[in-house]
Amino acid sequence: MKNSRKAGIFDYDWISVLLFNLLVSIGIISIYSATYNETQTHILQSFYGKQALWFAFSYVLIIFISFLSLKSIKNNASLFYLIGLILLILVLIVGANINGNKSWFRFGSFSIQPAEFVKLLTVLGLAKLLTEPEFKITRYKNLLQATALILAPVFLILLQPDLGSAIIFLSLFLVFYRDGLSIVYYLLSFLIATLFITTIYFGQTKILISVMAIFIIVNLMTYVKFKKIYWLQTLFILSLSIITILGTNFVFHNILKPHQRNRIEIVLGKKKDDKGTGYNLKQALIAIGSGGLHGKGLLKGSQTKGDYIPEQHTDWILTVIGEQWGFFGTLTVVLLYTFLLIRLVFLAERQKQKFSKILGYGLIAILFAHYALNMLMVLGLFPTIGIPLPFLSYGGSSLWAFTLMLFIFLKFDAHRIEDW
Amino acid sequence: MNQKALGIIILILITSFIITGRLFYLQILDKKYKDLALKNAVKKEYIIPERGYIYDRHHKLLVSNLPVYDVMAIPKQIKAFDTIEFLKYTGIDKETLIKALKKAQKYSRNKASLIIPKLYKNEVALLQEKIYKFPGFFIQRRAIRQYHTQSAANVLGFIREVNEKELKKDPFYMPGDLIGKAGVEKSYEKVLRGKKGVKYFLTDKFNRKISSYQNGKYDTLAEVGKDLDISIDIDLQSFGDSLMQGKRGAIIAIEPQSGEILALVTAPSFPPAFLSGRNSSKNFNKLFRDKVDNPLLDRGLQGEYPPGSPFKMLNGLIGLQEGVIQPGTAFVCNHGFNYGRHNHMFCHCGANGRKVYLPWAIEKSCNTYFSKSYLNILNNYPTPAEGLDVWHNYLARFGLGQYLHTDLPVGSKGFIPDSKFYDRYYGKGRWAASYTISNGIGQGEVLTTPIQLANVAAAIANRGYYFTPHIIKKIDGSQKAIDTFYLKPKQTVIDQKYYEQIIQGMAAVYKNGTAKYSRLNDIELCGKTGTSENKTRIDGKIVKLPDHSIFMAFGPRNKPQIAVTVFVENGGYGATVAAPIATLMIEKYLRGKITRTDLLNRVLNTDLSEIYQIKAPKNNEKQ
Repeated sequence: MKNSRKAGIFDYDWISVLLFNLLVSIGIISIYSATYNETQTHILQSFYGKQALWFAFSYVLIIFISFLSLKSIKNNASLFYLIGLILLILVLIVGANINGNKSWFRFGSFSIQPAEFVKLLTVLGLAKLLTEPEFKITRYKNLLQATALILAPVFLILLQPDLGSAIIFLSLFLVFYRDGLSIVYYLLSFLIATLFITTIYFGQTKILISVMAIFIIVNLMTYVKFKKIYWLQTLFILSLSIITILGTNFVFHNILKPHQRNRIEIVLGKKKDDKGTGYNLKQALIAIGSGGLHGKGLLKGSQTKGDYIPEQHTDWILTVIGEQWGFFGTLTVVLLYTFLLIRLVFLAERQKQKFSKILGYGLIAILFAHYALNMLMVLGLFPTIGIPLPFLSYGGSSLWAFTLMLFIFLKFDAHRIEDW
Repeated sequence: MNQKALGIIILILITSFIITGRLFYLQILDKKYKDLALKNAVKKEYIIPERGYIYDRHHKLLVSNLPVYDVMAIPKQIKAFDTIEFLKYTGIDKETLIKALKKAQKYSRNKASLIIPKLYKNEVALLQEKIYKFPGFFIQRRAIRQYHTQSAANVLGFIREVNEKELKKDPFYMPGDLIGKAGVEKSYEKVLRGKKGVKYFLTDKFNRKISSYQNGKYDTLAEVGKDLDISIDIDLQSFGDSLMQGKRGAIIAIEPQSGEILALVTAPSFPPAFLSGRNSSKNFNKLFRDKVDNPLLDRGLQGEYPPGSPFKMLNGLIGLQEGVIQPGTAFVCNHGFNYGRHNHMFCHCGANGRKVYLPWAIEKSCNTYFSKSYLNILNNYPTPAEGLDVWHNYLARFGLGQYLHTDLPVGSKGFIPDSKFYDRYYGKGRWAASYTISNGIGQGEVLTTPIQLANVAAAIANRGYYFTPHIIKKIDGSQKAIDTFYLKPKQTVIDQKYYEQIIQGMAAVYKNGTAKYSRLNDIELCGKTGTSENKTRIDGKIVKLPDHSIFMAFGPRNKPQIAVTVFVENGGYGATVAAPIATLMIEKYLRGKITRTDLLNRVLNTDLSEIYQIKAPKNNEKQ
């Protein structure tokens, strides 16, 4: 059935819009309680007031997006990507130095984090590259091109340095998978990551011996079953494993910085550090854990009110939700994200155009990485890295960047059957 | 759906599942975080109630509280300040200030330390006005004990900061709390201290208060400590102090019909305020180290002395009750008598070979009469061991040889030998009654504390029973809360009629006997002098020291209102020092004034310090 009417703002996927509004609202309430202060005078000087203002302004962005021409977005995608890289170079030159990181442009009392917006710009560039005629992700040359496209901003962001954002960009490799790249790459990456962590935890020799043992057993079993030994595959995986195991100590001790080593060791439980790096995590677990089933109620959280967790209104906002609304609260947030992500997968899948499909998966990858890594970090299952919880954490840059990303995709989705 | 899209959905679901599982574990399964959060954020603050006041038996205020001000400082917050001005306001010298600040710095930079302790209101007034000029310094109010008497330090006791042991023993206390360490402050600590109030606060990570916890739902109010009325008559007590000037020993006065202690004088002593106020620690050490005068020893409760002749009253009573002597019983006394082949018991009663009967034997303190009575008590049984144990049990009924269980925190048992003691010394069955003959006259192995002997006097005054001596009269204005142990009479199992015979003798002591020079004209008193021998070792040689002067008395004879025992170390004959002191105490209590000014002057002019110098030559050299 062909729709002759051009799609408008009201044709945006209402489920996603609803989830977006719910998450931002929960965020504002949480920021309100995280920064509540009885002597607060002006609403617009408060964090929740500002976040509400930025939420309101994000609707200005949404309306602005609705006037954008999809065609011009697609055609200028490479330019957007380049602008992104230029922004990242500029911030290294003229950016404000905050806590040793050059991640912010400062305009008077107002500051913007370009990396948040570069995520969208990179996704646009990636979509443009992957939709080039003759482009095939399974072709090594093309894979290399696409990889370089992702690693360029990663490299610039590492110079700031902002490890968290850099890791987020790596999630864009997930898009390749949907575009046809074999799962083997991901399994090998997973193997390397697993070996890296287990080697840190158990030590080099133990892992080396176990890996050898596993290979001998697996080969014997395959031989018994198939009467054949896969020499090439075995050799490849084995050498990759051994390089990883032997390289782990070098990477861990020579490339990672002491505070990064600390954070990994704290998550692995190899180190207890309740005063320094581990302090945040310990207090976060106390806040969340003490929330119980239904939480302590709005403004009743002793951890939250006592300001025990620095950055509890930004990266650690889940602690506020966990303490005040308990398991019900955190489960609600988890479910909202899960619904939103799965909904976005459905939307991406129904795209007629590859460009918007890649755009959709780019959004899913980045959103997913933020959601998963932030929560795993706050829950002590991933080393502490500074990344916000999308839509919930305090911060204009993050909120607007995600709003732009989400609504540009939703606009593409609304116009999916049109020929733009 | 596309298989790869499904793969991505599965990845999302697995991740959410892991997160949910972790949340479930943290928030529902693991219960420890609730406590940790409370421990983190909820802080208790105790409100220390005002300590109860202490009054004497006529409700005269003895001890109250005085606010004092500590100058505190938090080193981190101190900024450069005008030292000269600071010293001017506080009146301390520069070295003291520098020393205190260094010490504070060493203790903690963030926590408050004491810089100048216990300034009085007028001393701190100037600084209080100008404290804003000295950032990092603040003034903290607290209370110390204020004493309205110079006397009774041993009874009132003192308070100090709790030590580690007390902290562990009673969770009531927090470091820095004050606790009674002696006297009624100690024994009635739980009554005096009141009940602490608790306030719960939510605090932030810097330990700053944010708000009250749950609107004060769990807060409790402090309860002010209860006031005590103690049985001491403070005028009598301080009169006793003045009588004991220049002497060592004790005066105990008890109201026989209640067991209330009217005066508990120990000498040498110190004013109670000595252990309160700014120099209390220094002063305490001074007293503690003084092993010559030993002022922290309560001689009335802890001093163990041979009781001497007053003990004869007990042997008389037991002999009468046992039937081994009767009013008609007479013993011949010829400057004493021989017992065994080579042993002679001396006597100075002056009977010169005549027969001695009971009242007269007391009047003249006849050693022959009472040592023979004692021997008869023991020999009335198949073995002296059995007889001695019967004798021992009678004495135990008077509270001798064991703790009296007064309501003061210190005491001594004294000593009354039993058969086991001599069995151990001579061998079982290898001793005779005569071996222990000195017990008959209150010498030998027998030891009593002054309060035990005063209690004996009270029992005799009551003709057969006593109330355990105690210091408490009222708690919070009422007698209800007093331990009933102190309100129940204890019987001595000796018939009243035998007491009358002993009392007749004791009255004669005042009329014609050893204390006749101390008698009061219109009040009939009963008493008994005592003189107990004592020795000490000086440079390896045993030196005989002047005798202890002892007197036991009560009066008036028919309606006793006061029983007194006086011990004066090395005071000589009981009649010379102890008897006048006891009589003066009785007169002071009964009449409120002294008519025997001659006695008073004699006592006041008796100074034994020279004798005490011999006793402790070693210590004197050291000083």
